[in-house]
Amino acid sequence: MHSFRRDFGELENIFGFIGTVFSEYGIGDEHRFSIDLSVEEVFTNMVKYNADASGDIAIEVEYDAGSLFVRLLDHQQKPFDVSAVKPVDLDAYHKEGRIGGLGIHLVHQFMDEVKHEVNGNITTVTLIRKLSS
Amino acid sequence: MLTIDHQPDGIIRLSGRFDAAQAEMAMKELENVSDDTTLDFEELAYISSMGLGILIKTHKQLQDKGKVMRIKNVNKHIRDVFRFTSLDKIFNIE
Repeated sequence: MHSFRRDFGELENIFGFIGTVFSEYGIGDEHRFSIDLSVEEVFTNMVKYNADASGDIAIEVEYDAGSLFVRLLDHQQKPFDVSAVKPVDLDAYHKEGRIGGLGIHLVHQFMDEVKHEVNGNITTVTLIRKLSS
Repeated sequence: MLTIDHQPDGIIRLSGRFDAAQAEMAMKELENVSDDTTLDFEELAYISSMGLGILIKTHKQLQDKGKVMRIKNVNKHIRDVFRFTSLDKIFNIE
């Protein structure tokens, strides 16, 4: 598990960490885009939702039985709740000329499963992706 | 790291990774675009929703002026992002 400051500037370090884990597990680079994007979207939402908070966000990655599990752990009283984000009606979205709000929609497109758990003041978002190789 | 290079022929070349950490810089680079524009993604490996937001904004600002934003040389992953968000039906992708 690695901890990262609540700062978009940490994204480069996060992507580096994911790259290291991919190398350790021998996971092909073809899966990097979907994992990088999903982790970025959850991480940036956690940061934005508690913009003035302190406390790092921890990320751990596990590869088991052909699936990749990425967990983002945040310690906040009022954490970002990924399960509360409503699905995007894309026709209405574009008709209304909206900007922003597509991140978690993309996470659900790229991941096989997204779990949200709260234990005390620790919120864990787990991204699960089945890998074919 | 993202690089935005305004070419003499009017093409804007984006290289690297268009993530949330690059959004402020990208916004500044693209907010003054006011004529028909082609964005060349040949060297762009990655984009997240923050980058999409800036592309949508740039597309709208040009559309409001009767101008066109084109995007060319899009890789498979970014094409998926456009498809999953239906932006492939909004943007002019070559």
